[in-house]
Amino acid sequence: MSSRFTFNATDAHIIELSKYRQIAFPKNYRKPVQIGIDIGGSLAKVVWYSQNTNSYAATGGRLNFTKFETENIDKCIEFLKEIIKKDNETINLPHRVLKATGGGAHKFNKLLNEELNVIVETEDEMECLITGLNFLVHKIPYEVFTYSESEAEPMVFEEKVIDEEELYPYILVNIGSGVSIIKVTEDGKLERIGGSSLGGGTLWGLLSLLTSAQTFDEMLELSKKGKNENVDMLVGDIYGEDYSKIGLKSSTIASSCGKIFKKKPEERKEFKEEDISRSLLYMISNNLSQIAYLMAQLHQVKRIYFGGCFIRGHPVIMNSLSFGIRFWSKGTIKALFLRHEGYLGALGAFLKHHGNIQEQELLGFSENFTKAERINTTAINAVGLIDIVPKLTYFPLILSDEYHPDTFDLSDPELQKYWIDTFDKNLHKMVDMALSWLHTHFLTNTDNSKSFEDIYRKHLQVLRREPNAYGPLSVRSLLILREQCLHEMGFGDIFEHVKQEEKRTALETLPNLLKKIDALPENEKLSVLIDNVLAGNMFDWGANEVHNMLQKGELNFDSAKIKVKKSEKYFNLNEFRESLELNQYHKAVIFVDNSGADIVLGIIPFARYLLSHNIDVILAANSLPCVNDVTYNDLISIIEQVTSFDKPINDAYNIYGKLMVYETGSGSPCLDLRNVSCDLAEACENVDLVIIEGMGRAMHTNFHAKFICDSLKLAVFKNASVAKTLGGNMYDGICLFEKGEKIIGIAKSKRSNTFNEILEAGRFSFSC
Amino acid sequence: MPTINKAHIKRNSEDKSFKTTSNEHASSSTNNEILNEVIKHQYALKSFARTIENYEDLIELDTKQYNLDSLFAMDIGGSLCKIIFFECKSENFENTELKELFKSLKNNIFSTEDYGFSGIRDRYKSIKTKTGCIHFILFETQRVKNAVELLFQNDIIKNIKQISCTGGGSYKFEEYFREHYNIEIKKYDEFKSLLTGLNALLKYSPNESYHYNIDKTINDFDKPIPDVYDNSKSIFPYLLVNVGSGVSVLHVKDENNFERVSGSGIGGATFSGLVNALTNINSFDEALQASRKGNSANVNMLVGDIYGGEYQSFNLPANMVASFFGKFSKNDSLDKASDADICNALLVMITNNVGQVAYLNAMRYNLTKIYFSGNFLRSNVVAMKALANAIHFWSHGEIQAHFLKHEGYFGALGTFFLNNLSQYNNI
Repeated sequence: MSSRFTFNATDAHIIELSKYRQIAFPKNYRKPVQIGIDIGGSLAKVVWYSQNTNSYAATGGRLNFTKFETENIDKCIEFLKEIIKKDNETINLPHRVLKATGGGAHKFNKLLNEELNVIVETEDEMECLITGLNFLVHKIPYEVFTYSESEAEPMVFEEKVIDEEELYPYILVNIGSGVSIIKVTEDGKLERIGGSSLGGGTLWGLLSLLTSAQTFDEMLELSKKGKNENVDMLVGDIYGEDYSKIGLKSSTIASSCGKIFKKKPEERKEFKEEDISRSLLYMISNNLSQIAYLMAQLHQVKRIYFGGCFIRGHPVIMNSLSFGIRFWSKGTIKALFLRHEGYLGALGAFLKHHGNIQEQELLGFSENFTKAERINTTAINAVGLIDIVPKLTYFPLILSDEYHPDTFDLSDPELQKYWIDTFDKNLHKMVDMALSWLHTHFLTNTDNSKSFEDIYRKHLQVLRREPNAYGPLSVRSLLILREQCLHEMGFGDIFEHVKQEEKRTALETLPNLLKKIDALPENEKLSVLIDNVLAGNMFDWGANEVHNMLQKGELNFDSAKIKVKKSEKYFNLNEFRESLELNQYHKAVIFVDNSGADIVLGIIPFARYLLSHNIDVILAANSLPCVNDVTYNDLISIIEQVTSFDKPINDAYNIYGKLMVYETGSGSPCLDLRNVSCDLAEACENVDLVIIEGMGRAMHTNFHAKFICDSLKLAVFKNASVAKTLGGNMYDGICLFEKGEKIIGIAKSKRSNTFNEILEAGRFSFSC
Repeated sequence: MPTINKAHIKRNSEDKSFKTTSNEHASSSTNNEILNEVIKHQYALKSFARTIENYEDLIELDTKQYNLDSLFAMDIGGSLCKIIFFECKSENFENTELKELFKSLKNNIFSTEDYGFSGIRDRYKSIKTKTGCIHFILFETQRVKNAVELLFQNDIIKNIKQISCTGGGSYKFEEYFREHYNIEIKKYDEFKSLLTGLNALLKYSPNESYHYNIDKTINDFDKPIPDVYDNSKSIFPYLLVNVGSGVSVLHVKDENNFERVSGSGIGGATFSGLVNALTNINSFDEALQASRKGNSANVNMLVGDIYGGEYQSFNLPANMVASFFGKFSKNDSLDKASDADICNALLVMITNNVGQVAYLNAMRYNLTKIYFSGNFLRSNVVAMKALANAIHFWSHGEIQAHFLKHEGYFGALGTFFLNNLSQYNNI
């Protein structure tokens, strides 16, 4: 039994792994490289699909993003040639299609056709923009955000994937060289309701004439330092004060660049480059926000998205567009921005390739920031690559749509600093593990571990400056990013060795432990089992304090049992016991945590106890390796070994199917219940007891999660800051039982695809 | 806004044909062309009636109370200072000393149409009334002090105690006037004044407003055509777009009811400022002249530059501007454009944008009539025709752009009315 989510990496060599991949994905099954290109007046944007060459990532393919200056279209063509050439080596495609949009799709049609030897299919520009936008809004978490510097936290992400009813109608203000304003109504019908020729090209052009800056990014950088009041005529310059009667502040711009001509002729060219840059930037963005607002009013639209290559994640531009919309709408409308702002058209063109639109409904998309590109140094947001993964879905037992996985809001700068520092300080431990993994695989390329260290540290540096560059910062996001960086650098299961060793010793101990437990009086069993789970949960190589103990060999199962104390605040085992004794439960799911003692000596005996109460048990383990968490494949192998010596487990697993193992679809030490594998979601529909184990899954995330059925959270405080914030001490074990709130379930529409549909999808999937 | 270039005013004074007038600008034939056009425009406007009919309703100056204060009104904007002078009959003054001062004042004002560095008197805009004549004078705001000293020389200033005034300058210069001249500024609201002046002229002065026939197949299509009003129909509601240094958009519901619904910082001063920053041209009128010669295709990125042709599915023609100044984002185009090209692009850019904002607001309030006022349009036939075309284009002929003979003077005129007429005092 092999995971559908991953390539079986156990005991494998990198080269063998890639062979394995080829077996899993025969040539005729795999998707060729597909390219969508959007050639605008100034920039040519490219989105292309590539087969993933990395065996450890959760994905078969990925969407990549890049851009070129239209002026240098030759460079772009060279680049595409390379991609296509490489793909031709593995796949023979006589009639390769290139989807192109934007003005250049017409202008360079012949050139692309001849140079690349492809069939250039031109797609309508507006349609591509909207196709791209709809995809991002629906599929990519934290794609959409608002930005306003008058708020304590300027950048606020839209939390949930938006509902259709809320989305339509909307307008997209696409700001490239020029500006198009497109209205989209429910049935996907779109209309270009207007535009403006005062766009990004205007700013770029004027600043080329007026400053010494060579690139658009340099111009934007200049504007960051400028004072527009040295160049603009403000209301205060005319009135000497506010014109409060009509609500104009003295700082309101009465006339852009209006101060220049008042200077003596010889002084007129003597304004500062910074000032004129800011003035003109304001001029363009204020004007656009006004026109956008008027259009929205005229068409009775409440959602205004801004896209296009002009925005560039530039805080001054976004703030002034936001301000304009807020000002004119008297606060009723907020400007919405997109992290992939510049790539809407190219993404849309890519999606126009045959079958992609249908396929996107059946697949999952996960953003990968390892090679995140910030469009320039002034951008506050980044564009990640989009990995194509099996479709993930909402866990069916979450109480409400308002579910938010992260327990801690890291908007507090001190907390941000603490966590970034923590990850930074302990990075070397991961590097050491990665190095030893290389050795055990007889690989000597230590550059990989070096570049892993560099790349992750660089990300941490970016996040220090722009905490929300990759979406809202959380412990979860920092952890995921670390795993992504490891995999990207070619590392697999770097705790493999540790896990094997711990598994071996734990399995040796298990028969004895089971005997001891079976001998206990019935009413003492549960308490001991829970103690064991908490003790087992101490074996966490991801927690820094514990990592040190484990490395020095200072921790074993017995000493862990002594170390873990019951939490005063979060320990209501008796309530759980009462419910259990009433025979209320028929099916439980346990989200498991670490390998070794945790799973073997803690969870398996506990699961065995639940089985003895005639409760079916689902063990949900990660699909992909991270730290020493037990993976789906690890767990299968452990259970199979246990079945060889324990009858109850053997019967439940092999004969009655009462013990089941599912993969979560995740490769993170945290648990985001909005994104679990469809198989698991399907299997959990009739679950009436949710058990979540571990600090990452039950403390950093889901601590406040409410379920429609009863739930039990088991974890140990292994971080002083977390303990302090939640009200506990280091090494306090929590056993938090909560009754289900059977009021309303989650919207069924969230889980649109059934298991069968997903299987169906596999037949023509992207190759996951 | 505009610096005031006096070329065509001078040459056209005393009704001489421009051909017989010597002037430094006359050497260029293209200049002649633009001058020709501006003069043609002025002649056309001149042929419109210039009296206020039924003025008894409007002007109720009590001659007994005449003092020098009430003869003036000012509108001090961001760039230009607009001054109204009411030339009453001198026999109205019973006080001999005042009569002498009035004579001396008239002498100061009428001895020339050209005051100091920036001041001018718009001779063809003056309006006759039964009791006198309203004159229109223009200075640059930064030279407002010169204006006072030029107009009010010979002790006149000592006899002026108060001047009615509107615009931002009424706040900004209040202290200055008090300290230097011992003159109090009596402030009037900017938009209230603007609308009082405009509504009065629309109501009482025939041919104040005009439009352009945008049908290019008709001869003389660029000639201003006076609006004809049906007296039984109300002129309200309408949209007023005042293009001065910046832009204000007013929704005028009726005589006493209006709202500033929108505005823009891209206005006349933006044009002048960018002309100064980008070219060697130093005055507004020179820039307008240059814009006639320019070819903005060297500057602007056109739909055709991006598409290689038109963008069919959305009906965007190849010669439509996609991005103003977009060509300069490519470094190699920097040398290809002349000052004239740049002036042309700037003028069209700003005019287009004003037109779009105006059109969108008219749509929003369901208005079919847009009046454009403000000194950006002063002698700016190119801009007015561009606006007329733009509004016609966007509205598919549903909305008409109207222009006004007294472009930028309504604020000052309204202040004058508000200050002197009992009819308004009760409002």
